[in-house]
Amino acid sequence: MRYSRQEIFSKIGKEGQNLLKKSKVAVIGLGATGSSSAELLARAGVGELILADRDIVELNNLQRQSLYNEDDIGNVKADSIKNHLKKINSEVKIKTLVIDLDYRNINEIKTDLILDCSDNIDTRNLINEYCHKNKINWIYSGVIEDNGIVLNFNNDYCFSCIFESIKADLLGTCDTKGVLNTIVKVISGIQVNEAIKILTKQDYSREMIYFNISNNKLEKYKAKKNENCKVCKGIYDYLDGRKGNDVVKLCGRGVYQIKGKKIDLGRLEGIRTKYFLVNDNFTVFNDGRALIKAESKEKAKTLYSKYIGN
Amino acid sequence: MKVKVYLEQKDKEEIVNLDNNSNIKSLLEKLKINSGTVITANSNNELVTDNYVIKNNERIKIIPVISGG
Repeated sequence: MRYSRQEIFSKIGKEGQNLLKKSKVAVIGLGATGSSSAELLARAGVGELILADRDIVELNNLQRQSLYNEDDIGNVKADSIKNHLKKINSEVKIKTLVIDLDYRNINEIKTDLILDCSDNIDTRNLINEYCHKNKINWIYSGVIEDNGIVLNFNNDYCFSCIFESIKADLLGTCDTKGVLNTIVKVISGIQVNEAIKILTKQDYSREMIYFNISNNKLEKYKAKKNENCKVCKGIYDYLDGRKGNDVVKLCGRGVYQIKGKKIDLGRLEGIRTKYFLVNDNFTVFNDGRALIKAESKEKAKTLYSKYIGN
Repeated sequence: MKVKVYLEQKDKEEIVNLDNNSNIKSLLEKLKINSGTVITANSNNELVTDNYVIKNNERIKIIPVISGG
């Protein structure tokens, strides 16, 4: 009964619905696209979801990040969204990971398909190498201003084949350029539709989809393998820990994440929750990650040393 | 040679004069666009890399990379 409108649709049917029920999908990043895509997957009846995010809900998230409400502010996104999704579809098994995905923990993502809803190129390079090595399909999505992008990867070509020369530090973020909530919904819809096609064994897009919502223009670009691609030759710089950044600016606010060693939260002053300790200057997670409000990367590192140590 | 360049971000097309056998890298340098921020596509809407040699009268699209989520 719950899925009757989906099962009656000829391209899915009862067989497709059963395939969705047997599927396990990971959503990496639970910001704008991630929260929306997780909701669509849960409503569609995907059997198991792994939801991974490193951040907490803030007031400025509510403009575009689905399901979160004012009561969630200050809580970790993964747990907040799990609570909301359970009220939408209690049949879906949900595992949450409150982590900053890196080469040390990505093996926790054991799944049929990964939806990239992250906000940075380093994470996408890591996901790309992990999926290439383990032959897992993944779907890249991105949004900024009034533009959005979606591209499937299934080892015919990889993220590095196309984006190898991109310099993460030079790209605009939603913090610096803004983003409309309407483009988020379009891109999330395309991403989850591609996911459903993959999971129900339908043909799916091998083209990069680029959409601008101000002029309603959709462009499709053919992706192909780059014969010089290092990842396609099995060289995994991010997965093997040779590349990646332990200090990153988070999208959406003037906050830097610094990864340090595990620390004893007991020696710090602040309000403790299940996952972190928070005070006026920083939020420190159990795994040693700290979120620090600062004007620059250098100032964030200085504050980290001052309050938490080296 | 003349190359038609479509700038996706500005939704604008312009004609650029380039030396014969120029590649994407030299086109981006001429336009003062940092190659670390964009990807490019040829007349067939195929994504191409910096060393792609541009043909006379070819239409090249310059597409900003989107990182936000």
